[in-house]
Amino acid sequence: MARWKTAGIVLLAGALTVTGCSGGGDTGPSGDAESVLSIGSTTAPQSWDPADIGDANYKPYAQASYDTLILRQPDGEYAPMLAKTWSFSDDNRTVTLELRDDVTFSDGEEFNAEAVVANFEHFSSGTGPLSTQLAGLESAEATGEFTVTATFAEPIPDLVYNLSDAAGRMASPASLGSDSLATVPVGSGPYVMSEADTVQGSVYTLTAREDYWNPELQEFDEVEFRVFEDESALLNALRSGQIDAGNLTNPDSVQNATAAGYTILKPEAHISWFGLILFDRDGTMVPELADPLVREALAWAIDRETLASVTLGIDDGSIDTQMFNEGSPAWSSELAGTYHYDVDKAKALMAEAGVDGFTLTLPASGLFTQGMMTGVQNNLAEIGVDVVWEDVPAQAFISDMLGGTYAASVMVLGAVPTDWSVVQNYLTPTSAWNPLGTTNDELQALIDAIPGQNDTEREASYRDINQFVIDNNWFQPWFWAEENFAVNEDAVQVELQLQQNVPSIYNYSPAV
Amino acid sequence: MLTFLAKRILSGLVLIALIPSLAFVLMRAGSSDVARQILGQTASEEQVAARAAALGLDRPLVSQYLDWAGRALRGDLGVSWFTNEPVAQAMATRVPATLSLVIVTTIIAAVIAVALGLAAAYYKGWLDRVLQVLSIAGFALPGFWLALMLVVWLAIDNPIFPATGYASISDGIGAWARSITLPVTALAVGAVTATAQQVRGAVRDVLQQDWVRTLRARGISRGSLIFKHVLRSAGVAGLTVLGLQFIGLLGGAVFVERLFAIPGMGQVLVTSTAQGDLPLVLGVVLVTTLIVVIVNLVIDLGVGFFNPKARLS
Repeated sequence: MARWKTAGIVLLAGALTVTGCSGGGDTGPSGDAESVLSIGSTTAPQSWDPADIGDANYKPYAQASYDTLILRQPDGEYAPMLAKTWSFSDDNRTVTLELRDDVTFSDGEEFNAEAVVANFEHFSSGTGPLSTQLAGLESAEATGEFTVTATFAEPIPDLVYNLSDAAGRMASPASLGSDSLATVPVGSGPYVMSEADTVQGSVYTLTAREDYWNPELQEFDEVEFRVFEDESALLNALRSGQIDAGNLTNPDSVQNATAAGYTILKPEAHISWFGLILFDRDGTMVPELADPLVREALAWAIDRETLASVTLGIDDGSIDTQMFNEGSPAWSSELAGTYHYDVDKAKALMAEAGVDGFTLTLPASGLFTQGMMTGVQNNLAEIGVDVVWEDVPAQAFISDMLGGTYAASVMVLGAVPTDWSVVQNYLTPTSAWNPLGTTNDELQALIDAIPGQNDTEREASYRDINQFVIDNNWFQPWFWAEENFAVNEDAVQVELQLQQNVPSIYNYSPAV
Repeated sequence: MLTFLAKRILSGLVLIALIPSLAFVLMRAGSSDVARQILGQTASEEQVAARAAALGLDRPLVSQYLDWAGRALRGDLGVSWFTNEPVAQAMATRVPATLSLVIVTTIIAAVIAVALGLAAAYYKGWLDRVLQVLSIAGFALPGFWLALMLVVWLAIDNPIFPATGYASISDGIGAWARSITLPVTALAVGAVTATAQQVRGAVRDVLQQDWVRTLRARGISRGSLIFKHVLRSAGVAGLTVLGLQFIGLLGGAVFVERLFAIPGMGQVLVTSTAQGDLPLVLGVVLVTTLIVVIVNLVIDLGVGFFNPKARLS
């Protein structure tokens, strides 16, 4: 039987070879082997316009095409890139950038101060997902051919990070505002899109620019991003050698990739946490939630270990009660175990608050396993809280939560990239994840002080904010979600980037 | 014949106008906060409102629909809200991928199913029984499981075919054939078994007709009897089933497009519907309706060819 199978395969392979169908090797024009990096992703870029490119999984796409003003290294340290130096005014409202003078864009345009001004204005006037990175831009001025000064209404605490991220990506001024920029990037980055080999939403092929100013960041002749709607397809592509690396979220995929001999990289600092958000801290929808004792009781009632290991298959022991990530100044190992499963304590807190029980309606999403929902329901039932899971269409899940429809919700939330972004996204009265606009004088005073503080003072403020959130239970993280990045180390070497779920494009190099 | 054709074309035009309109109503009726989905979880309400206005979502629904329909009539299908790719361009890359899968699967299904169905009906006995068993097995075999097994056997363990991806014909006929071999095989099993059963039944019915016995009594050759008379008579049923298979495969190809990461219409329709990407959904629905209308027209003409009485109905 085996002979027949082998014979069939040989015949089939032979037939395909005769018809010119064999895979063939990757050879360059000179006959040298081309180095091709192929990255698998489950997300395709919504836009290549720097003002509209998203965060997280979109970073490597953007970095392949666009240089940033500042380079963020794998360990989170900052280094010069398009800007040789950067300095701040005494009030931190004005930043001055000294630029490189040997950079061109892929359309041949020169990179200079006017290009930075055009990009800043384009970015800050847009409606992109990260447009607040340049919030309050009052003016951007070319004070020399290669010197730029930008002034903001208020200091932006993480401006250096922002200039290493979306706000710092520079596109050719000639391309800004054109419709084509959404699908074809025109940057000064190490690679340029090959339109002929790109199928939008499916395969993006970028080739190395011959005249790139920093060959050290250009490790490959070609970079290819392949998009997979289905993670099992991504895994198959990895196992068959079609891709060199890719992000995996499904525990089964991770197990299969490990069994097949691929390396699974896990970030030192986790990216996002899984837990309960209590939106209704003033008790407008569920009056009982206005009482801090009741909110705290919920925190003691949840069996985090069981939820993580039994219902979600997460067993790396990353139980935490903090919404700031481990690599940040706000995070503290001492606070990680503030709450644990203690039903008696939870019941005592409910009794102290004079609450027998109440009904808590939570939105149910396809993201959640039945086991997790049952677990939460059983845990909270023990202290008299009747959890009602309300089915919400996947499309409406986020918007319903952020529209203030629910008093609370289970959710996976990002804790990156910076402490200031966590504060801005979750804790101010206008934050997207504070739909009911809850505010607190103590917390607001801490937040308001941060822009005017130096680094040391800010770190202290972030720690105080972290303590406030834990004490007041606005957010109740249970454990960190796992991040797994699968790599074929026979093909490429890669280093993870601090506070990113996928490595930066600069962190890849061909296998030795 | 001309009246027959004109009626079919007219009903096709009505469908082409009606189906996308229905899709628009359904999408907008069930739509959520698209601007929020585009901008992500951390965008502020102001950002979301600005993006919604930029997309025209703050205008009345009738105005939005008339705007889309007017531009579609001029050949402008708009731009995807999520990828910013012109919808016409998205269709130009995705329609050939899906049609490659569907057309090749249909041709293979037609050839194999007619051969099997004909042989089973004519020879009966053990061949017929084997076909019955295979048909049940073909129906019972989950397509996605077969697809996964094919990938493991012929792309990972024995790397003959690519595990994922699609190569267009312009990349070379060999590369194109390799890229669709596994997905077409996964699709064809179900299509062959379904069609073979129909052909078998139709041929058996025809073989029992009096006029067939008469032809046999007059000493007509077996080849002439089957291929000139029986097959033509049974062809109506076979062609109708094949047409339905073709249309069904347009939607049924979704699972192979996902598993093989083929940038086809099914895949994009599922994704864009989940996201609420209205221009892309309407573009796919319009093109799919157009294809269905054309296929139905071809089937009607084919049926008319096999059975002249059908032209009068």
